[in-house]
Amino acid sequence: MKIKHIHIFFAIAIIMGGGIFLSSQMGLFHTTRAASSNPGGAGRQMQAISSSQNTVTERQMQTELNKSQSLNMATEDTEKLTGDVHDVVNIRGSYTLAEIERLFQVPPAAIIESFSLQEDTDPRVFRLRDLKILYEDYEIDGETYEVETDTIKVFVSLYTNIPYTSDETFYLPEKAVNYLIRENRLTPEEESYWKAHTFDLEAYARDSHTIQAIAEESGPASFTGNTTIAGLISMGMDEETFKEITGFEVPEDRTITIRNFIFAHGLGFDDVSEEIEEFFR
Amino acid sequence: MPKKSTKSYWLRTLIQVAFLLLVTLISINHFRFTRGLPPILVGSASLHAICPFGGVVTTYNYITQGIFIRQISQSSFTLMWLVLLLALFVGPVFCGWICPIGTVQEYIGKLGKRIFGKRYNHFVPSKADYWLRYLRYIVLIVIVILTAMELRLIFQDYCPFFTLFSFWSAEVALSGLLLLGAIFIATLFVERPWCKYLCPLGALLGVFNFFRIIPLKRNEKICIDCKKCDRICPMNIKISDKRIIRNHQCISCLLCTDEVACPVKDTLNFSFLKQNK
Repeated sequence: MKIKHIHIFFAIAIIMGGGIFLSSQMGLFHTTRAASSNPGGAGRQMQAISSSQNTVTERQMQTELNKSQSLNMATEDTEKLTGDVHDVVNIRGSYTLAEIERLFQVPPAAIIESFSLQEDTDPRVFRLRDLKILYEDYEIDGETYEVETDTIKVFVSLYTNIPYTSDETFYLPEKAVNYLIRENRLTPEEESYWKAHTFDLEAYARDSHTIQAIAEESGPASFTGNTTIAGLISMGMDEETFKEITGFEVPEDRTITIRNFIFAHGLGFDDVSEEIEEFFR
Repeated sequence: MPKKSTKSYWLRTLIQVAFLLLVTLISINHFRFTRGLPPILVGSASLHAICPFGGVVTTYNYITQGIFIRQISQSSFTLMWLVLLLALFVGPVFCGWICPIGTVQEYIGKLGKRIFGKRYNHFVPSKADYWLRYLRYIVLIVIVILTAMELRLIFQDYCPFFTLFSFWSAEVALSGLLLLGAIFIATLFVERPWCKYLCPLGALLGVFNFFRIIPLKRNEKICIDCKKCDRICPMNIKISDKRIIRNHQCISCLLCTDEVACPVKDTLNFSFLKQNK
């Protein structure tokens, strides 16, 4: 028998089309990981985690999960990331959702949905530290936690697969976990862990009056990584203090941002920015 | 000599264009999904979920640990088996009929043909070309091993499929864009350079050419040795000197067969049974 174009056409239709249809009917064609994680693998992990009743052990497991994620990266990759502006650890509370998108390719819609923000939230305006204003601290197993920048760091780490080890965030909002699963961002181990470590964020939402009061009390944001050195000076930092904090003279080009200045001189962003924030406080 | 009907040829074109449009729409829908917008006509699966190569790179971890690696879902694993099943019967039909990267290269190649005429697809010296064709097996082995070790899609930053269908997304790496650009430029000189030299999925499917149930057969007794089959083959396979063609580069496009290029009926075609004329 001679095979013609029409036969290939039918072979594609039957094997590919029919195969997809049949596997869908049999539950073997999930395009998201939410329902497709391997029952054996995930089940074993779930069993291991659910058998652990004490919180400390669970935290250790979470840390181990993060560590194993780190170990997956070659050493040189990790070194390359260290000190890089695109390292999750460098995410600051002053970052806007737009900056998170630009630096980590995490779409604002992901954070808006995962952290139950209003749909019309402006990614260029909303800063990560604003989460602390929107939500009260939450309590699980007698421990108090807050939804803040570190929560976003963990979320971004899971979304992007950039290694990050947190010693503060052990729970994520249920919507965030569901989003990560739907977007195929979690390994089965991560999925089974985080599914068991969620909380209802919306239950901790502050009312609008409280939000307004806290926002007024906090005052406007004064310093971010994008602030220029000229901006710092105009905000009241003298050149002497600048040198004390950074170890370098104020450069001639004062239009450079403090973030770029820090990285250009091989300084730690966290260390320097904390000292600058301290100065302004 | 009877004039060939182009009807059959267009059947392949139709399927190629249909899959190209389908993948494009799915990738646009996925982008819309990340912006909180509803999908249009078809679903909004991620590109990784509809690529059978995802299944290939996760197979080791699935067998040894029972897991799919990050970003790979069951659909790509299932698609891999379907594509392999198809290859077992009719060879790498996925490459010649379905793969959108192959389709895009084919259409850019038409421009190359117009520019260079008969010189097109004959720029690479034959000795270099012969060895370069094994490069894709090295690519396949390296990717499978590294992915199994690192449990992440290490190929994503270079994958032309991912890059082409999400070039507007911030997830695309510069390395992917550079490679895709290089492929498109090379396509102006060489037909399907990605498929010939680098495609890891093509490498795996190509192996099926050695034991596919329906091979390409040439009837030496009635062949007039016009070599039209050699000239039309996009993969530069020398067909005219063999009785059964089991070349690892064949993409089952059927261009060489008596439905398209071969002028003598029942001389060159894919068939189950022994040629007896």
